[in-house]
Amino acid sequence: MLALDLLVNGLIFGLFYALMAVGLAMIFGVLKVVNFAHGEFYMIGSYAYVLIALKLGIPPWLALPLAALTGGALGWLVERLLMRPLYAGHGSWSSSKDEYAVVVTFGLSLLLVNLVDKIVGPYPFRGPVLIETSRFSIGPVMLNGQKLIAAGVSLCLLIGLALFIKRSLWGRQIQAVAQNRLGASLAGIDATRTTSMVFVISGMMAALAGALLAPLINPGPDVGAFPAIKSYVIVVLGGMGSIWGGMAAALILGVCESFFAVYVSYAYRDAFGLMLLILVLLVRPQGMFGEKGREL
Amino acid sequence: MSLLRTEGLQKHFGGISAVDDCSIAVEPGEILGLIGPNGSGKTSLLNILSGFLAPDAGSVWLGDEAVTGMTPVQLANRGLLRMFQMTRVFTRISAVDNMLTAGLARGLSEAEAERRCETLLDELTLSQVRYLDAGALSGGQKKLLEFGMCFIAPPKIALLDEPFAAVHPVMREAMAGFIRRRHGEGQTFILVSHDMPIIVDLCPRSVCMNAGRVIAQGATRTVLESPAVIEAYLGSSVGSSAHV
Repeated sequence: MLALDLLVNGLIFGLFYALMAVGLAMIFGVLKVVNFAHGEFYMIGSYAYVLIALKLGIPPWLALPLAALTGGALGWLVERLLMRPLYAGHGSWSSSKDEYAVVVTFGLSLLLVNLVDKIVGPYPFRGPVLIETSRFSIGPVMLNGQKLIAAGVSLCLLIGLALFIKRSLWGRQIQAVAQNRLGASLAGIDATRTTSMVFVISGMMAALAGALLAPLINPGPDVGAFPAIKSYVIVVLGGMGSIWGGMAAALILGVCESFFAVYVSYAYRDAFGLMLLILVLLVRPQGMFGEKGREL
Repeated sequence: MSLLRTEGLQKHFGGISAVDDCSIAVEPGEILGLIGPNGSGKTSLLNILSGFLAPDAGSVWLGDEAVTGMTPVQLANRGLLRMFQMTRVFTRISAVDNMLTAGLARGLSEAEAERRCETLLDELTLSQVRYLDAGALSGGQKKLLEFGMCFIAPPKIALLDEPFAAVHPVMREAMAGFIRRRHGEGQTFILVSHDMPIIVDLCPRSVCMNAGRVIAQGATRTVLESPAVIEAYLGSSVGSSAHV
């Protein structure tokens, strides 16, 4: 019975991880660079949610989409101001894009953490809950209302995103740009606009993850660090840039962590993902769901 | 009026002149052959025409519109499409989705894109593999699929860069037949190829480049027999060579 409890709670954490990691996977998919400021999208989302709800007195259910919009706006700005020189125009940085992206996104991460630290303060806030309930059990599974609501919203968003990517014209264009950026341009797909859209979606998803968890984690300026590291682990485990692989890897990591924390060591719970990453890479360097080899 | 023309195009890479004072014109409905030895500037010219390179000087006109320096997407949306020697299909979605994605991106309605997709899949003999991921197709089938993606929304002009390179003769004939049929419908092409029998067969008129410059243009047979073109491909005659 304990196993069922661990499985359900692990899947719930996996959904939160997926919400965070899927944006990182999408950015890697379309630009083939790692966004080291992804954790700060999460941090900005949690702060936006808390400050909008507490300081402006706006109901939490309305603060949630506003936090997502804040993350989306940040994503749009980052792409427009910092990432576009990487690939747009004839004098772009594309020949050294990896170095450029590492320096720029790492710098942005430090900037955002320190800006929040100076402007809002270094002390953690506690976000308002979406629903006031105490812990309750369904059979052997112990849950709390906020966590369940957050998991439900995450699940709906991930299903919505999956349908959007698979079925919509824009989703097809994102897949096309991720699979062959040059080919997409030749087919008449505006890869620049598509990349911008991916950053907006990525910012919204990470910000929503931060907002949904704000009542559970008491966000401070460096709150994005751990979720970001887990997202990198998930993206590599899932197969770099694979959205579906990332979602599956997030759920697997959530469940494995949950069991590891109880049966092995709670103290090393956060290190477990890194251990799992090393083990998987030893056996499958392309990740659990990645393609073998690379296209030339 | 020419469908596509260039005036005094120049492109330098450091001290190398890749395109030097290049002026050509493509008339509506013609297949213009673009030939020249390796390193003669054909691909650089194609890169400028299709928006992948900005020229240092000169201009490109599509009809009466100056399109110099426009991006590949802007040019694709104006009806100038480029195919590379290496195929650029989307490997992890099906052949049919590749074509639909290209058609919808260029403004076709879903119904129209599906109708044209069916016709092209039949014509290109890809119906049997329509639901396979494009990455699973053979090299020749990928090239045919790329033709389908290009012509699902017929462009004003298609720039084909070595479409027949490393392709099985049967596939090559299928592609040549496809080009002939589109040409019969009035489609305009620029065809870059080292395959002279195909150039002679498909292109009534050709331009030959060497060292970035246009060294001959006119009727294809006349161009191929031009002493400047023969020298560009074969070097100067034995008697005049200082190295022999």
